[in-house]
Amino acid sequence: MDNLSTTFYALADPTRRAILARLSRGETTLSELARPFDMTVPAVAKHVRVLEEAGLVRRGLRGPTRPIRLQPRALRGAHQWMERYREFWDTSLDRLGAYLAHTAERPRGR
Amino acid sequence: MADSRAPLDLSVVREYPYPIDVVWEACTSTQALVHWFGPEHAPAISFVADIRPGGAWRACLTRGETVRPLYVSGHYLEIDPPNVLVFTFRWEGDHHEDGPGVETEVTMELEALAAHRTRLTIGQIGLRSAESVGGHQHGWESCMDRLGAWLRVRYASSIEVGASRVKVRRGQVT
Repeated sequence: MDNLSTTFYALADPTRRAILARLSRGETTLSELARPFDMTVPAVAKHVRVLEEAGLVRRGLRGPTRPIRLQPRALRGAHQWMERYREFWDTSLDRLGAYLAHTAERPRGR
Repeated sequence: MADSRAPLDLSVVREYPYPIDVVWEACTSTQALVHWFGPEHAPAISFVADIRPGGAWRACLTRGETVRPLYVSGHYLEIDPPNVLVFTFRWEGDHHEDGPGVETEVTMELEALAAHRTRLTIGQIGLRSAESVGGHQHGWESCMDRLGAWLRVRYASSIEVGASRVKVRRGQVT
């Protein structure tokens, strides 16, 4: 599976998105990550593994326990992909704005 | 629902009629682990470990006198008493069906369901084939059978019954 598909697959789950949100505030243990969820720690570990395989998180290399942390450039590819469409909408909306302004200036009716 | 993109993993759950501290001790004491680690057809004959974050562990599993034993080892990633134990798990040598050097991650979670009831959930992630998942699933199920048997023997012999403080003989406790 290509990188973009792997990333979006990883993001397609609300638990995994919540894990990413928590990790954006700092690295932590699996035990801590699992706390807010009503699921077993092994189930959360599986979500972490999906995020790891998508390159979005990793277990740190240093230290005895290697806490789980966010990868800094994790979502760059997805972000760049979405940027293209943001530009599309921005351009379209600019054009819509210009059209509406032009139409408003013309007298109503025939 | 099978999803080919999902990493391979397994999960085994059991409930034991003992307090969480007792089951936690069984999971974190080498004197206990050597009695239940490893499936029935390849039980541990040694379990050496430095049970603290980053500490290493290694078990020798025997398959009988004519076959070479298996060694499996790893190190502890998280120890959060009495609930969570996370460690790496790697078969030494090249007998692993997934190939040599595959490192998986095992998570043990203990929940106190009642004063004398603990749920133990063992999860393993990072396996590389459906066959390996099946093999390891059977292995952990066998370990958990052995853990139940060991706990029964170890703790049934000193249960107090009512006010009479009668010592119950082994094998009589349900």
